[in-house]
Amino acid sequence: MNALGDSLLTKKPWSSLIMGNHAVARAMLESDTKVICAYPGSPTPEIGEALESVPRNLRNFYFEYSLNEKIASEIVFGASINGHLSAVFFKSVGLNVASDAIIQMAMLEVIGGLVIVLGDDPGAFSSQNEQDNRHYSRLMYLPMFEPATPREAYEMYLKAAMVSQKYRVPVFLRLTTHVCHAYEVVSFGSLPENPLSLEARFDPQNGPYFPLVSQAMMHKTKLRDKLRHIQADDKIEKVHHFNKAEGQFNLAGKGIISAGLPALSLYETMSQANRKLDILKISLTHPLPEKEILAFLKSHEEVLVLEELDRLLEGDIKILCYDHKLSCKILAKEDEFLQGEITTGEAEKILHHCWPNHFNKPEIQAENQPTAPPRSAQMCPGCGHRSAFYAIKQALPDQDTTFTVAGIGCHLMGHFDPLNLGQVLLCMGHAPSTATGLSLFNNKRKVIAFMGDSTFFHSGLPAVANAILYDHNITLVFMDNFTTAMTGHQANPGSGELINIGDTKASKIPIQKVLESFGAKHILTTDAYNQNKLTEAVKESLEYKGFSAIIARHPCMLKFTREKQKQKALKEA
Amino acid sequence: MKEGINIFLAGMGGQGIAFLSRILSESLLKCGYRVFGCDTHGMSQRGGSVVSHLRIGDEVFTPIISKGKADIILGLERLETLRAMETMGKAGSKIIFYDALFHPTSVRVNKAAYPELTLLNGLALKKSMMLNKVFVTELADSRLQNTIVLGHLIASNWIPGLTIESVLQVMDEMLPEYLKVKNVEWLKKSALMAVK
Ligand SMILES: Cc1ncc(C[n+]2csc(CCOP(=O)(O)OP(=O)(O)O)c2C)c(N)n1
Repeated sequence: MNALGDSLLTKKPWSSLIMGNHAVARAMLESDTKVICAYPGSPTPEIGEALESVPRNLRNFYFEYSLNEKIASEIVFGASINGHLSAVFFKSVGLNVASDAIIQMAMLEVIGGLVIVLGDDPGAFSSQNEQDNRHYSRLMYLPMFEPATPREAYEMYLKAAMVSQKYRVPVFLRLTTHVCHAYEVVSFGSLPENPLSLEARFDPQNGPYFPLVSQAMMHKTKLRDKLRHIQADDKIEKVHHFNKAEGQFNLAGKGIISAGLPALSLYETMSQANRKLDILKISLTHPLPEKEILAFLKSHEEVLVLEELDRLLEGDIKILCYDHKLSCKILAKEDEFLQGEITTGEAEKILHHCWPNHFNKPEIQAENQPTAPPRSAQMCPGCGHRSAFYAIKQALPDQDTTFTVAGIGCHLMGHFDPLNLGQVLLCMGHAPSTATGLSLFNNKRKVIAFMGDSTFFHSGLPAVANAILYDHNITLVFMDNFTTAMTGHQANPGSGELINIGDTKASKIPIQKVLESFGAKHILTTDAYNQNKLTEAVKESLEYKGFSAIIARHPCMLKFTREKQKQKALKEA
Repeated sequence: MKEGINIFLAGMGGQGIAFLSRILSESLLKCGYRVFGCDTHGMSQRGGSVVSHLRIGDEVFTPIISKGKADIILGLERLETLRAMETMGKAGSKIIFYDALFHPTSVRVNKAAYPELTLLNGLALKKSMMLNKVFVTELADSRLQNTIVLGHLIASNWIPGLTIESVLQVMDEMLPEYLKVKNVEWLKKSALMAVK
């Protein structure tokens, strides 16, 4: 067994230097989470890495990378209404895809419990946008915990599971990039020794599970009641007081309400400035712990609400002040901090802005005009995508004769110099449809779109079916590398790797056969290294009127060479 | 109470920054430090910049080192070391870097110039940083460059209490056999090299 899998299976309490994502995986095992599904996306894939490090024959749980976030969420919903504690994880934008399912299951009795682990990305370190997913907890009327460290991520997963089981409601655990990827020493509990139960526990009587129009309002009322009960439940630890125990208030009357990593940035700033203020750190940011917050507001004259991204807590707290006729003055960050992470540097500026007499203007240490040229990610040595792009470019003597539409995945790097293929990009699966739109009322430029294999199965299928059905005049190039490369080589139906529990091999679903069965008439397939053939295929496809597809395939060489190197090293040793 | 030290590691995808930070943080833990840090993960295989924040000491609350607050910078590549000096360095920063050179696309398509050594030296002088370049001509396996830098860090005595024994013990516990021999050999060699 490998070291990670080994330690995750430690039966007794233990402690370890560990990354947030791995700590969450351990929490899943300790809470006896039975069914876990996911779709890969930074910053969460290392949860999957940890789960996969546990050998299949020793797993007390089922884990799969489903084909997209919505499917993953629906599977864990099914498992939960059958009585199994379940969890799903994905990246920030993954929630957009899963939202249709989750908004609905929010109202139903998830009797086994269901935790949604969300990897948000303030600062957009590895995402196509910076979205504040806390809005979803309000939109969906779901509880949300927000840990700040790996230790808290572990503890709050356990709490989220407990709340979810008790109230039969899905609960969000919202991680952010630097909670997922931070590491520290975490002390863990022991593993449960529950016998595996194979009972069928789904019972429609627990519901209703059926959203009849006539019952829609009742479902919503029920959910809102649950939120109110959670808000009033004193057994759930919802906030953390900082400094109170020490009793040193040298800035008496002033306090701060915060949550997540920004709260730590505040501690850091105050410790450096040798100042002490009361801080109320909120763990459960939805529903708002009103009682605790009101007590804090009543005992302070000035309170800074410091949150990352949008002004959610600030608005809620201002409403509380108004409704309760409190005289407490609420301070907030400036508009420039509505975007990006609140790290110590930002916290220093905000504290100085609020209380200039107590916090000095931060001195700027870093070079203000860095000379180091940027180093953006690029395609790896030997990458089949690069070879394909080069060959495709040879077929396009004049860039002005085409539009090119990029897809999500490693091949989006075709956009950069010197290839410059891919002029527009939205989200996973968009390429055939955006290309279709570009092809309408346009007889001047041919439209070429790119799509990865994982993306095809994620959200490409209906888009491709649509393009084939109406025979839209586009050329779709599949950049097939047999893996979900960009997020760390997770298996997909194109890779034909073992992706199921037990000993059944997931069958490989060949892209070409799918296209044929959808009725595509013009499909050309070639290895991406065979550049002449690919160039000819592009020329031919551009001549064709109607939907044409090219499958340019070559295994991801990073994955391939890594596996080879490892095998070689193992042989030598 | 142990005083806080901010250690910033910089290199590019594939150079073993995560490995270096893991070995170093486990060793510091063994030496009695409280450790809190953060690595770059995801989208890092393709030759992009990779950094790691490693903070030790009792009064450390966040895993991220603020801009211009690194006490020690460990670099595995020249351009990334320059970037780290510019963004994370401060007066008094101490730097060890392995002088490996990898041109980013912007340099290869003639849109930017790759930094000369004099640029790093000049910046170090201007900002009063201590810059130590390391390069081992006879090193055949580039994957050992991170271990060389670690050896030099041990020999520098910049981190009170960090001993070669603790690092060797961590390597022994954590590395698979096929990686152990060479890493241990070069760690010892480089620690001696630096002392000389
Ligand atoms: C809705 C959504 N989920 C997940 C991601 C994260 N993501 C970014 S690239 C990528 C891989 C796509 O794989 P594939 O289409 O096979 O392209 P490759 O990287 O292999 O070239 C994923 C899953 C995302 N951007 N959006």
